[in-house]
Amino acid sequence: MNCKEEKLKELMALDFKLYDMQLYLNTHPYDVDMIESYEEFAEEAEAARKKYEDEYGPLKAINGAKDCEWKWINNPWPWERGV
Amino acid sequence: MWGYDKKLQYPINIKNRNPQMAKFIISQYGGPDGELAASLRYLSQRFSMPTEIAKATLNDIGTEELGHLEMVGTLVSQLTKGASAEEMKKAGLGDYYTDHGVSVYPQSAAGNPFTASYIGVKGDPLTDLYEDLAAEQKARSTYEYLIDLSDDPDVTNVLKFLREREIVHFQRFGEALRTVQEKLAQKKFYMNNGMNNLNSNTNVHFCNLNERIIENNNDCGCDR
Repeated sequence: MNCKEEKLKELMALDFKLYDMQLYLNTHPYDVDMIESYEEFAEEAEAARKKYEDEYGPLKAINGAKDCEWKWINNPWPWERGV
Repeated sequence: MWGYDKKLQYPINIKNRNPQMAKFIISQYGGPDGELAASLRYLSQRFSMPTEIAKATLNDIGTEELGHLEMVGTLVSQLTKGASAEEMKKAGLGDYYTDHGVSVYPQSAAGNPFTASYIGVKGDPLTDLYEDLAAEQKARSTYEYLIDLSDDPDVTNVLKFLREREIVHFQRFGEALRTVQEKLAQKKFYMNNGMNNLNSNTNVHFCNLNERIIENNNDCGCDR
């Protein structure tokens, strides 16, 4: 597995954790401890996403323009990636 | 992977209840030329698209159509909000009320439930893109019929916005189609260079050069 794939998998794990917490919080909106953890992890995930995108290209179209190039359309797309 | 933005693509705020209009508009939710069919069609077809431009176009428009599905659902919801059984019945929605109450169910104006037979996924990128061009035209026509049927500017304005999007999508699909045609022409010419697999990554570099010609016309101040 190359470095890019490894970094993406790390980010996927982080985002998934965050999303699962989101579902939990939807039904437990007053769990203050979980809200605090969510805030913390949200920040961590956002920083990790930014780092990944700076190095390997956009994960969201809003970050698709870089160095005067529209990188959003670049191969490979997720269904071609194998992870 | 998808995320959700807690907003509509275009604002909807209907002041006057009108279940009769909801009965017509619901066709763009779950009818033959509706937004659900559009989204499912493009998001399924993208897996067999051979160019970056076609992949991105189907991916992004397929995603936007989900936003339109939400908008059409919002129209139906606001047009029926608080309607009594009597009002639903008077609007021709007595059958609907029996099965779904006052809710938003994917069906056509005539009451046919949504079916995947509304869409084609042929695995031939040209065939699929021609279907998409036709689908955008059919959706545009439907929005025009709905605009004919509407007498409420709160509703008509939203329908006009959605109609315009069909025209933009038609344009973008036409451009994507051209990249696929160019790639297929190349493939014929370079058959002996191992380019007989449209999805092969071996030809990615070559086709990128060609795909980008269109974009290179946009001068954004860089030396190319």
